[in-house]
Amino acid sequence: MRKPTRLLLLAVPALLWTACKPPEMYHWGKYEDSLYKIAKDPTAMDRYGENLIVQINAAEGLNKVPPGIYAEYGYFLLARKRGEEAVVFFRKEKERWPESAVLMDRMIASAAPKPAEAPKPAPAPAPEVKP
Amino acid sequence: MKIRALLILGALLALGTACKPPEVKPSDYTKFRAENPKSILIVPVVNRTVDVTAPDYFLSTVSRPVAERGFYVYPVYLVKRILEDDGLADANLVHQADPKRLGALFGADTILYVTIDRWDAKYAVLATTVEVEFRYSLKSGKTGEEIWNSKEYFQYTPNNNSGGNPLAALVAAAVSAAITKAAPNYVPLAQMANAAAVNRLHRGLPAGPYHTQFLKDQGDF
Repeated sequence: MRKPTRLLLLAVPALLWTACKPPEMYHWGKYEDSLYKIAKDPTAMDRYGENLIVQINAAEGLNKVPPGIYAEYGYFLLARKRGEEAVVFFRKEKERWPESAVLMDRMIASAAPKPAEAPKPAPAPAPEVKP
Repeated sequence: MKIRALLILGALLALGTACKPPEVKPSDYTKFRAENPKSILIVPVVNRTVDVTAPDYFLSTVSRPVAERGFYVYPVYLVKRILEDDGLADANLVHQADPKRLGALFGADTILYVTIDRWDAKYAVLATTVEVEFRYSLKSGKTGEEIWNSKEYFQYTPNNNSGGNPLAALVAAAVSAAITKAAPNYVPLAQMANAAAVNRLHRGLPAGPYHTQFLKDQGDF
């Protein structure tokens, strides 16, 4: 048997096999793998964060950012006390996925609890106490 | 030459039918269709096995297939940590909590509860069989009612094809059994089970709003 024919015979079953699996909507990168690793080893946390941002950058380029990924990265930043950066990603999640609004508003509030930058709204007048 | 061609043809046919899921009793989608959920909150899983590492490993495999069905899936790791902060570190407590409360807390249309019933390895001389079994229950965050459920059992025995040499087959089996014994890898099996649970015709999840088949798959689900 000549070589090209043999290769073709190998390629056909491979094609059929992948035909069973529909193409995915999102770019998952190393998300599953690194979730699995932090479960096993908490010191894998740095790598988890790195993998998330790599995934986000690649997925944005493809316009295939999966649900939850901006929020997971935001939470990683929040745990590292990088609240301001975390808010950016919580906002991205909320903007891309309106279903996340309730949770993201809560995360944004917990990431930026200090109202230092913005001037406080005038306090409501104290209710009059009748003697 | 003729035999080889026949063999190849046979293999092709086998692969073709491999895509077809086995016949199962179709699910009732009345409640699911009435709810028409957009989002799914996957909460930590209840573990009915002796393997304490099973829940975390499992949780890493479930977001992807559910999201690919077209639903918004809440970030599983963040959700787990938030629940811990709320005093719900124990998955049993989460599963006993009112789904309506969880729905309101996260703004989720539905909550997916998974129970691991089996996650073990059967050791034998020549090959180790790894098996997993999961139960899935999707409940409404508005009414607390179950709107979908499923169950999957998968098992895997390493296949040692060494081309008909019995000695080589024996050695290969011994090697793969040793590897599996040291660290049985359940993750690929869990991934297969989850993909089957959500994609199986007449048993899986109908397409969600981000899927091209959204509200067009009444014939299949």
